[in-house]
Amino acid sequence: MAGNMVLPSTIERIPKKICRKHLYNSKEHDDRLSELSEDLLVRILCLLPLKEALRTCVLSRRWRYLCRFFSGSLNFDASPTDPKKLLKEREGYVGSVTRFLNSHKPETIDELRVCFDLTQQHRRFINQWIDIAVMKKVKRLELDFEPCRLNNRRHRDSENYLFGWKFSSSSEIRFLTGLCLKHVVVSGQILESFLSNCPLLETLNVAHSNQLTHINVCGPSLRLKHLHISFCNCIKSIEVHAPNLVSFEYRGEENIAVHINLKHVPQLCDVSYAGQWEQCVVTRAAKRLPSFLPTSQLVNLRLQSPSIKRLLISIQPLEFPNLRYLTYEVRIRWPQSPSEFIGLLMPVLNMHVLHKLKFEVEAEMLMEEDGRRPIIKARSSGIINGRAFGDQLAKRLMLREVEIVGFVGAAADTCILLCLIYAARDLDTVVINRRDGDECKMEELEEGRRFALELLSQERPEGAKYVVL
Amino acid sequence: MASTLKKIILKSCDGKILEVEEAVAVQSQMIKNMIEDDCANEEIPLPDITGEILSMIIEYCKMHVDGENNSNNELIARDADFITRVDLNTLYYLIVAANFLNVKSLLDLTCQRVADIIKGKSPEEIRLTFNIKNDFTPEEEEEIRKKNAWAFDYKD
Repeated sequence: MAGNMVLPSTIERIPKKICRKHLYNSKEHDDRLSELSEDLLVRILCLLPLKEALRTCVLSRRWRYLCRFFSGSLNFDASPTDPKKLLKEREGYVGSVTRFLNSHKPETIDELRVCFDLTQQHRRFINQWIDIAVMKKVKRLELDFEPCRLNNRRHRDSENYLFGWKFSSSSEIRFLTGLCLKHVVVSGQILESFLSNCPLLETLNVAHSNQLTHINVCGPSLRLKHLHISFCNCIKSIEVHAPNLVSFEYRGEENIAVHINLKHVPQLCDVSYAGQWEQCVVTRAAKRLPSFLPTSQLVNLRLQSPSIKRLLISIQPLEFPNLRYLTYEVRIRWPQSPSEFIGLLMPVLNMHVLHKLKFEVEAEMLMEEDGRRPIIKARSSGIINGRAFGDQLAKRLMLREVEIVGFVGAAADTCILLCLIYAARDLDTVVINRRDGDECKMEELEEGRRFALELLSQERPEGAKYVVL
Repeated sequence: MASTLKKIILKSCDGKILEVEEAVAVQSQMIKNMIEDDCANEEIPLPDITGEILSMIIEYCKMHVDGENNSNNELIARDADFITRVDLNTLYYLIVAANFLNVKSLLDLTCQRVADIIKGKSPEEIRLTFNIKNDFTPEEEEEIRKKNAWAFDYKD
């Protein structure tokens, strides 16, 4: 039956009941999905990201308003498409978010993320959104008003949204567990108000907030576990007294001197630091970094510097007896860097429980004059030097795993790779990975990948496993 | 492990009788409630569930009872294997039945399957996949799209 052509006129003459049965038996489906109860359809919608759930409202009338019952994370994450239409797109975006939140039915909001190029001009709407979210006991709130990259005549700081939501208007803010503010003008005082009004707050993330000068995260009963401060270019000091803090991240421009004081952080085991090294080396006799790092309790450490030398002078005197994961994010040059780079491995010799060493490198690739092929000679010198350095360390590195991110097969990163293979005693995994957002260098990375495969097939230490991603 | 060998008798809408071990049957919160209220001693009629669908649900519940000691990953793999064998038409009946019998893990699994099928598709593709008839006029549809343009047009 299923294979037969049935003319439309024939179907019309079949009584309705039989027709339905016929469809069921023949496994041809009509729109059974839309026949599900609204509860079930909403249940399905809630398993989609908000953006995809919203798209279903044009499917048919049945689906038109189901989104009002969407109870998943309210993630309004979008980017403008065309700088010429930015004003119009902003207007559309603001209207859409406002309409959605005003007609949103569930009584609570787990998460509200608003990510779009918005400014102080939109404060009335933004404050209203925060109001609604807070009223609905929002747990995670993220505002990211990153200026659209396409927009050349960019408004700057003076136009950034100034956090102006009033605390006194509601006590429901106490349900907040995570706060993330990016490209939002916010003062230390406001952040402290959050800390004192939100007893459940576990994550605080502030980035690109250019009027923030001092942060004081203090309180014996703070539940805060994660503190991330990045690219706040006016920051002068960060003071932390947080008994439950587990991870701390600071990222800043190299020329910004910030005084970091981690006073009482008994649980801290995960630190990521990228910022000024030079001044702390010159003026404080290598004390600034050690003075804020509780080195003995760290398990996971990530350090970034454009200059290996500065990084080296800062960390060489330190000991990290409990470190399991170490990441160096460095820019390496050839031929100066490799010898400096060996210095970075010196502290590693004393890390007896280190499991994994990760290098995120930005290596300069020396190319033949035609600009297409890498200079093979440079690579060979990388190989030779890497072996030599590795032999110097004579299998004294205790690592189990090595990862190199951003490997292109230049002299410098080749040298690092080989050195680590030769220097580590019990290496069982080597990972070659690419960095997020490196798409523009796809060809180079692809070449690097091929080269890494070839190299590793020749230089494989016994029993080790290679993962080339 | 000595289990009570009590059997629960289920009757599908097309008259199929299925005997199910209690441990398997109580995966359904509805049946569990009936047992607790002492209402499950006779056959339980299930007016909207066909024998075919009922057998599938029992197969699923059995898999979960037998796999209680397995690792989580193993169960996830089995769930995936179970659900990918199901065609769209059957999937709807499973959702309705899982909802009626209140088998939460199966309801989650089947709804997730539909969501996964929707994911990444344009509205046109979704309509085509599920045979959804667009009953908007082009003007109406255009208006709705405009109102939520960020969800349709803007870059991801």
